[in-house]
Amino acid sequence: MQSYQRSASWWGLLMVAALAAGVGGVQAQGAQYPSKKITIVVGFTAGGFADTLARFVGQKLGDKLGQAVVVENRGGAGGNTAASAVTKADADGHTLLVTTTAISINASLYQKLDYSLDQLAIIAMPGSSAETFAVPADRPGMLKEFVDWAKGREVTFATAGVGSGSHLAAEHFYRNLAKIKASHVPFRGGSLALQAALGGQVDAITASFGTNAHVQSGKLKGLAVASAKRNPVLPNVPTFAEAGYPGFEAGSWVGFFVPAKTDPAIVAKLNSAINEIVTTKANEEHLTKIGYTLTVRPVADSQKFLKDEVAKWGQWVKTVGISVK
Amino acid sequence: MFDLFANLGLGLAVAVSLQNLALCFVGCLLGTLVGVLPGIGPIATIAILLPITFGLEPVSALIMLAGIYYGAQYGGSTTAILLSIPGETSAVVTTLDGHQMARQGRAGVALGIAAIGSFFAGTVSTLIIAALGEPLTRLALVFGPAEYFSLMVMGLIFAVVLARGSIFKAITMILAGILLSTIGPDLTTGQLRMTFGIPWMADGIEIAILGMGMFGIAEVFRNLESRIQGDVFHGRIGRLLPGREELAQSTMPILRGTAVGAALGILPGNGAVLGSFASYTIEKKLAADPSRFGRGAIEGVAGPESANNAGAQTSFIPLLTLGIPPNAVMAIMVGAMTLHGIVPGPTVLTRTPELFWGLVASMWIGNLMLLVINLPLVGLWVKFLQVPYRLMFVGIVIFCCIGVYSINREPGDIIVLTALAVLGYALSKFGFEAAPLTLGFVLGRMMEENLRQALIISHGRFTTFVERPLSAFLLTVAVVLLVIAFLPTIKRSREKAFVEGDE
Repeated sequence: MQSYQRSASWWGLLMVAALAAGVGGVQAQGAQYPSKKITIVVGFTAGGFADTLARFVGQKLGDKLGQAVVVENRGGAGGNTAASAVTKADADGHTLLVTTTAISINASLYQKLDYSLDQLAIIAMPGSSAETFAVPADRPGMLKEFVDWAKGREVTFATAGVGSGSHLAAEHFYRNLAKIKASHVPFRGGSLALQAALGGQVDAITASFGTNAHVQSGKLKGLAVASAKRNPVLPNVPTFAEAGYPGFEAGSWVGFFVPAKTDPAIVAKLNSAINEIVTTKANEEHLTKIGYTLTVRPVADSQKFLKDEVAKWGQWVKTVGISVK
Repeated sequence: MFDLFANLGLGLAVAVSLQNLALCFVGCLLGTLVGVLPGIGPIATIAILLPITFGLEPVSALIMLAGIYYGAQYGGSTTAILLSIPGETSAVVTTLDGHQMARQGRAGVALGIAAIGSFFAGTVSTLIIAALGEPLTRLALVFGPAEYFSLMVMGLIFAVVLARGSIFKAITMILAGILLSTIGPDLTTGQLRMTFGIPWMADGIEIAILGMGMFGIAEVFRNLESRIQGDVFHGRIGRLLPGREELAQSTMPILRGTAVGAALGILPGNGAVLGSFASYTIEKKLAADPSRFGRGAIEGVAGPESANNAGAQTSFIPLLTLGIPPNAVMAIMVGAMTLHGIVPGPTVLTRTPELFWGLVASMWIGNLMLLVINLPLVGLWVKFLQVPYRLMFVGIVIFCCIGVYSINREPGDIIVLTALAVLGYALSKFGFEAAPLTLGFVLGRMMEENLRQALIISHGRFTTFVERPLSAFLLTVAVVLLVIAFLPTIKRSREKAFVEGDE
């Protein structure tokens, strides 16, 4: 019923556009946008890394574009359920997908997907959080010391789950860079992994979001952060480059997508709106405080970044040798 | 001690916001309603209303959902006393003496003492939660996967031993629940198990859907068979406040009931139900003249009614501190917390203290509201029993379908709901209860995860479970408990205890 109404109003819109402009022009569509409420489909449950940013940006986007923005959570299958649903939505810019790095990992991780990344167009990935490697307070707290200490034993590390960005980045580090044996202890979600690390049940944790407060309080020791620059919230934790592993960068990001056939003018309009939102002082402060690293990229750069990410994670998925049938 | 009051102060500040007060009231009101109405219980109600809370702050949502649970303990006694029909299972024993009191024209006093006992028990257990919250949370961090696994083994055995009815059937249902929980992605490889390649099965079964199917719709099916309705209470309710002598008679039963209920609530199994049975048995044993019981003894109302409310509230302790649900209602609360992005367990207190303390403080406020909702308005609740059941059935089914669909907007979930409802109905026809299945379902997933995590950490050595002292202790308790339960003498008296209560 709902999809019938949606397509009916879409036909109505098209006819009006065709009558008015005579040619049903692409330009006209971009200028009129948005003509009705915008639905943001979030690929994960409420309250998480993707959802928090989606709701915050979504609300400001609604104010800016003068239309209501509705956020729907469609969690499931590592974000695939939502992605698949959005590829089937009307390509008129009124249905957005918000998902994470997972979408670039899933492209290689899953043998069978009922959508492809080509069916989606990236608008922007405004928020990210670098992978942080940390250890319980009673383990060696410098990266070099930790690696030396780990050589004699088979260390264990916790992550938010198999196939998560944290898992792949950690495996890449232990196997390819540090060349030490380490066993992955998967948890369902970052919060449970964090609990195990705080209790000293595992030797290390890799996480992108949520470790900061515990490193600040000293309950965990930060080994290194996988980003080009140090995290301003954790000024004492070195980058991997500083700790002797140049070029190792990995993090989770939150990306906004629309169906691939959407008018590029709409994508550009949304891109600049989102960029304006995250560069507004008050918003910037709020989002940074919760733990997002904000990045502003034009559409073309976002597309390139996404392509690089798919290649990078695809490589690491192969390293770990996991594949979901 | 000072900390405790400072924390409760923080909680009160959260709980008395206009929105939270309103939601607490709504929760208590709904709880009373489903408590009064036989045939629909708090599990189904919480599961059904869960999706409606999506737009709310997590703390507000939990305050409301919790209110439904302990509110139902108050409401359940009303129907038990006036109609001799337990509105809730936890009010089964209240029918014995409560209804007799009503027939003797002391309905008001029975209702009054039930509410007073419940309020006292609610106040005490709020303090218990507040006092135990922090130490248990600290203990939780000492728990590794091995300890969690052993704790859950112990918990499930407790649930089996303390279950009403056949031990064999309880074990069967727990195992069935564990099997259902293995649907979905494998923890260590990410492979999808038993999903038949269907995309919407990829994440397994949602606990809220299990709850709505097994409790909500299956209960509707069951109720269609029997005519519960009919004899509406026409007698006089009489004065509500008990006299001095009645109060004196009830004081010790209320104290003992609160203690027993609070202790059983923390343990796995259904604390609210067990507590009321245990309290009744104790009061009867201690009474100078046991023959008064079953003929309108006020102790037989005061004790069990305090116990069930205490048990309902303290069952939040293992959920909030260790992340382990002790009964089916708490299992649904796990689903509620997860859908709101909160992981039940020690991080609730450390990361979101305002949520923890807000919820705890709201329980006391809720109990206060319930006193008002139940006593003066009792006539109103009795009227609700006149609502034709045929209207309610349709409403419940529609509510369940909308609710399930709104969780993930996945039509396939409705199919799962239907299948579970049919399964739940069929099981109840053969005398199997859905509650142990639900508990097995939630604990099963955690057990599997913790088992495998423990084995990865120990590099594959199973001895890790007995080498770690805390884990070894928990397993020992489990074994001892199982042995005791199967000892012939204990087995007999266990059966007798439940039979007595069922009479």
